[in-house]
Amino acid sequence: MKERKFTGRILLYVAIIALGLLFAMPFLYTIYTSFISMRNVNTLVGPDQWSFANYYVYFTNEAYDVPQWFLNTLIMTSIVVLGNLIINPMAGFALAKVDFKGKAVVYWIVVATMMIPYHMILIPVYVNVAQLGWLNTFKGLTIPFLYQGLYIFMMRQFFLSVPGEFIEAARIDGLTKMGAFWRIVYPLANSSLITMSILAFSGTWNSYLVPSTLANSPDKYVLVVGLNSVKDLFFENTPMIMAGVVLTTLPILVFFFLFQRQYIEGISASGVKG
Amino acid sequence: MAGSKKRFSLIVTVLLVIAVALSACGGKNNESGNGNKPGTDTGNVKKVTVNMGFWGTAQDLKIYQDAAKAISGEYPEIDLKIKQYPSSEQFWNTLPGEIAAGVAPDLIAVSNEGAYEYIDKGLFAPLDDLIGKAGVDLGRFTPSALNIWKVNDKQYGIPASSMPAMFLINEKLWKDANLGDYPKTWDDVKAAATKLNSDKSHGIIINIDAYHITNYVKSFGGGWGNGKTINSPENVQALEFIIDMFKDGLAVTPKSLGFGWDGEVFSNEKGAMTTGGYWYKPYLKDANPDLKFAAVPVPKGTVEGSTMISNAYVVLKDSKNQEAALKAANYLTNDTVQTQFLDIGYNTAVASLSKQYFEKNPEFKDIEPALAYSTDFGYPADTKRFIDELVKQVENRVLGGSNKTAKEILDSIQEQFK
Amino acid sequence: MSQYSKQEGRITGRPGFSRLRMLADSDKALGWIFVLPFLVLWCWWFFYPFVQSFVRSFQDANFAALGQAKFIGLENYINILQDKLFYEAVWHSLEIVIISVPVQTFLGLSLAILVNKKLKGKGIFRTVFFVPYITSQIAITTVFMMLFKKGTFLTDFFGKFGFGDVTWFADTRYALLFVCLLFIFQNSGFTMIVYLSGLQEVPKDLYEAGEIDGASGWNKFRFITLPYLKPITFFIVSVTTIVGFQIFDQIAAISRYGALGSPAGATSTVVTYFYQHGIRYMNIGYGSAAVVLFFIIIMLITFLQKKLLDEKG
Repeated sequence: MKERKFTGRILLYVAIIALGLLFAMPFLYTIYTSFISMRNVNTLVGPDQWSFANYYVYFTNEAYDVPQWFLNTLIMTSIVVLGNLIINPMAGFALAKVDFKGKAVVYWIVVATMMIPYHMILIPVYVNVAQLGWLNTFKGLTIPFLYQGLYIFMMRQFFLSVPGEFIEAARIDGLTKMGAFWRIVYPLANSSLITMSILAFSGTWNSYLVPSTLANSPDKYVLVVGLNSVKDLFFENTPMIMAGVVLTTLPILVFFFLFQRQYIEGISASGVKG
Repeated sequence: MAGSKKRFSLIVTVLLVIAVALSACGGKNNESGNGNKPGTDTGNVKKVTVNMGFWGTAQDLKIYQDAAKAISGEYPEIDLKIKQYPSSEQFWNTLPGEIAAGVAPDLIAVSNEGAYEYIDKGLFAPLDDLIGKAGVDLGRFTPSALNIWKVNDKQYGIPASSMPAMFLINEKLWKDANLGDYPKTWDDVKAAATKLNSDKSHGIIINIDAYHITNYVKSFGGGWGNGKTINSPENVQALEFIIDMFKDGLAVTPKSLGFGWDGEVFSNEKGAMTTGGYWYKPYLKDANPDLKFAAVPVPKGTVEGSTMISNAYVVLKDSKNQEAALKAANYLTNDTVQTQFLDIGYNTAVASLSKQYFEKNPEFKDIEPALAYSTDFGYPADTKRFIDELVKQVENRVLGGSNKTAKEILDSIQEQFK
Repeated sequence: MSQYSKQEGRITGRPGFSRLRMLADSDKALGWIFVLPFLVLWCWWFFYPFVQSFVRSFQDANFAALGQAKFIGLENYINILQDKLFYEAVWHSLEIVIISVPVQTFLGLSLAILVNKKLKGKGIFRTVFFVPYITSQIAITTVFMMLFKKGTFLTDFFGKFGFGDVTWFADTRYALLFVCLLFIFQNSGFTMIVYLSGLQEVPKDLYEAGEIDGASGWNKFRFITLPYLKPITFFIVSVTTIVGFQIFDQIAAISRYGALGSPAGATSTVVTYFYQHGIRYMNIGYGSAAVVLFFIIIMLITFLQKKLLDEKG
């Protein structure tokens, strides 16, 4: 019995490591490509030919202000994630656990909203932002994106699985339903909230089309837009693009790695007992 | 049932009212946008701000920024502001919105590959009446480049650069095959391609892309005629030649080898010849510095003909400072600034400086005569739709399963662009 | 916690507060209070732009010459519905969804279960599986394009299974499958993480109770975990369907040197169809009509899905 368990674990590790390599490979290759020169693209060369030259270009050209772009991205992403952390759970909770007139309509509004790709309404949104004088401002970059139909839907699905007794128990304790949400249910949803933050964070951090449209002046570039505007030649320079990708992705990786731990801790802290 | 319907429409109405009210509130803030104000007083001189937009390389940006600092020497009244857009696609997609919101630039640097669409839609200002006032001397520019920016007898742009298309050959592969003189006609090319074709390398790279196809078309005496002559016999002949080269297995398009564009195939030595342009030089310097290449004019089909890429400064019709914008354009095309552009690899459209280009770039010496006969692309007014359709149909013939003849392809495209 | 609620209980004795308390406690009011921030933003930044598009869809309008826009009734709709490329695009979108959604749902669940086990370094594995989702799609597409071209070990390998040794994204037969592979690869990290957070919500004592009853691992999964994951599965299937319909960046990257939907339109989708007409060609009347049609199609599919999965809210 014990032996079987042991070989089972070995197999498990083999499987997970193989899958891990498969999933990590493109990013590893991206990192690799970011260190080589253009003449070596598509070939494998040894570490003696690796260098930071591509990264160097981003930070040494005085015409470009990478730290500023980084800051812009950070500000934009923080505001958007914060907004999403407040607005989406509220709406999701209302749709899952509150009975009110017109709930079905709001539900379908949420569903309909997440179905339209943002490309499709970007032009009218752009014109509206421009008319407000919000082009190249953080207002324009964040306010339209403080909610997300997708995440409201997601929060609703999570709240559906919260037992109604929790809320009732809180009300017997003297809390209002609103109080029960903020003090009991919201902290309980810890892991879902973290999931949503991670998704919102990476989605906003990585976005190109929206920020490049709504903020196209170099001092308001976000990282992805700015790095894409750095063209040293007349054509695409793959290693430089890849260096840009690595620069953009690392912060999200750190964010994710730090937060995924919270899953476990969040659960034990809130002490869910079905 | 009826009740819920009523309730639903009530909710929708309320939402509509909120939406409209909110957007109306927003509308009031209109003025706060950083629109191009006609003029602002700063000290003694009445300064006019000219916003100049472009997209391009870091080197371009540096030259523009230096020019913006130095312009007050010649035009003390002009305050030149440079704005680099992330990409051309991004710029064109949002330009109409920027115009509507009053935040569009006054002056932009554009290439003739896509400009006609916007000239046709009336986004650019005809410059004829302003040229005298702003003191621009059109006599300084290469006539063929100037001509590209003349549409319906009106001048729409002050040309900055002019560069004919070219035909590039891998020198080593050519010599190894004992082929002698470089090709003058497509027949020479075909004969050479047969010899150059090997397991390792294809005889010729024909990128299925509007730029390259148009060069074949021009060398057969054809052209798109802004949409009027898409299915002309000359064009059909050119496309037939292309299709035959693929059919005979002599040609390859970069995509089927997994490459993005012709230059990558060329630098990886998977193709011995290709149509291309001046950007090959800086590209190969980085991508394969050991590769020696020769550049000759686009070979003759029936005539000498090729496309010319010309960047120009264009004034937007909605600009409130058209004259000042044109003055800025005049400054950007002066000898000092243009020499800087020359140094980073563009052939300037200023005729007296252009000779230096071919001295500085001896590998392009043979192309110089093509300056005289190279012409605009002549795409239809719906340029992007046309090139998408052209590429798609030819791709379908070469990569997909279509059996359409060259004539059928061009006829069906002509049908859509009557 | 209980201290606080007692205090609040005392305060509510006052009349003014009791009305407030009623608002915060009655379902009728609370529901609207909670959805209000969303609805305000939605009206402003979604509904209003959408209405603008809706109005445009009845116009012959070019973005560069909006002043000359004129009402043409249903002509845009009729033209789209007569365009066989539109049906081709819809069919491609459906293909992507039908192929990718089941695969990535299953893959996501498997990965989530794997990394939810007591493993050394599971934080690293979670990160690794999630990496493709957060890496820029352009980068992943570029790397995949390097791998799936003629003559690499991968195309050689697939060649043995009847696929030609060709560049996948340049071949009209395989280009769409290539897009599906990309989508599955990138999005499985997303489905994994959603399932993973779902797995955290399963009360631990249920498992303990199951163990006492002597349930096997499979039975515990079948009777305890799966039912708990049902709303999440519904969420994942709906969302990946929608995301599948919205795929754009990968296709744009594949065709970045050619026409969108390259090769020869083999990867055209409803979104690329819209993008070409509505944005690239600036024909916003026609593009807006495509948006409305797209909306109707995807609403129908979601409605069917909801019925099919029989989700009980």
